[in-house]
Amino acid sequence: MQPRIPGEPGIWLLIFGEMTVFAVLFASFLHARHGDVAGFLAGQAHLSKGIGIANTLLLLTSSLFVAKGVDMVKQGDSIHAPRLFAAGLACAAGFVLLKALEYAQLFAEGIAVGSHPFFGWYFALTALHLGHVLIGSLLLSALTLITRKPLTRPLHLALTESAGCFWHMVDLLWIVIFALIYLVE
Amino acid sequence: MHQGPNASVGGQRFMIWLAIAGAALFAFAYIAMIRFFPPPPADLPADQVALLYSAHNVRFRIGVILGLISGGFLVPISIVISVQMARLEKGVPIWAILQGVTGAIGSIFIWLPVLVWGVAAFSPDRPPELTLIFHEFSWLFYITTLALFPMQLLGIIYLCFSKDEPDNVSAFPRWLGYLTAWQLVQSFGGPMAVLFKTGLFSWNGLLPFWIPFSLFFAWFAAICWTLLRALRCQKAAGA
Repeated sequence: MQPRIPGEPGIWLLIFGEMTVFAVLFASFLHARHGDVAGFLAGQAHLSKGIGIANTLLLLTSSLFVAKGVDMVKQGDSIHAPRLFAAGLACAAGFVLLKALEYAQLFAEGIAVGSHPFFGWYFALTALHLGHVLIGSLLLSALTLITRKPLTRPLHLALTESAGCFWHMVDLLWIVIFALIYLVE
Repeated sequence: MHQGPNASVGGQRFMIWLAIAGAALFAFAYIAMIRFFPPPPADLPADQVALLYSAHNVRFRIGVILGLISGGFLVPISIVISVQMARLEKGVPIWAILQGVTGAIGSIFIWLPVLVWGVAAFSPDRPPELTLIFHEFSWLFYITTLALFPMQLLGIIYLCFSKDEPDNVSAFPRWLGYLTAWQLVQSFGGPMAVLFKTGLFSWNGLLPFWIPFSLFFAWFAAICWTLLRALRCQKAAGA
């Protein structure tokens, strides 16, 4: 049996492209941080690690739901699949809410993009990632709707897998962002 | 299938080559005459910004004229894309209409900044601060295309994944769907230029400029190629 790649070749082009762009951003962040470690640590102290951890757990859980959901689609289970995608979507909504809460807290402290290079990076990376979360949420909403009927065509299955892979990428990128912004000491 | 509008293959080919010629002339005007490639740093002080427009003023203004002649190149290609989309849609081709309308209006992001560069260069001896306003307006206009391009791309992505015709003769193969989707995802980096004057997120940085511009030209080349290929097949099939 040939080794099987989930999704389609096209989605991997997109995912590797995205990861390359983010890798460049992460490297530039570390470079900027290297020049002003004390300032970046002072900025980091303003962030709530609790919210960061909660968001990481939310995305990991949603990834689990989505992986299970894709499995159910492959088994032709049109009852559990949409529920699992909806559960993943609920986690994504939780992530967005917590992110909004964190932004609101920082704004209340008078911190904005221009306060310090650390916050420039913080807002840029998290907002960019949030954009990916929103696009991924649209994909999950679409999956919730279309998997109510059994998907029979192989291309539909490949598309479902591709959307799932995109969501896992969103999760993976967040884990790196979380480590870089909230944890590095 | 294939019962949509039956536009002439020759007319569509002409429009594609019109777009390619326009894009080539625009690239020449932008890179060689206006010389805003790579873009000037977003944190340049007013007197240096004014110098961008007053040095080589005549060459710059001729570049503006050429840029205005060619800057509408997105319109004919959008029309051909719409005609090809409408072939695949059933009933009123709403995705094709959305794509064509947003493409036509979206071309304003390409030629209007050039016109404003012309305004900035028109009076080289005005106070630099006034030129700075035109400069910042035109650059942010040029970079933050988010209002229309994602909607233009949406219908193309949808058709790439939902069409019934085989990939090797289609104007909308699946790989183009993924390329277009990546372009859509990356278009979110553009508006960040409003918040940053230096670094990767400023208007001369990686996210607002280099990635969207590279992807746009890769996408433009790709869709011109798939359109011409599809037209060849449609002509052979007598469609």
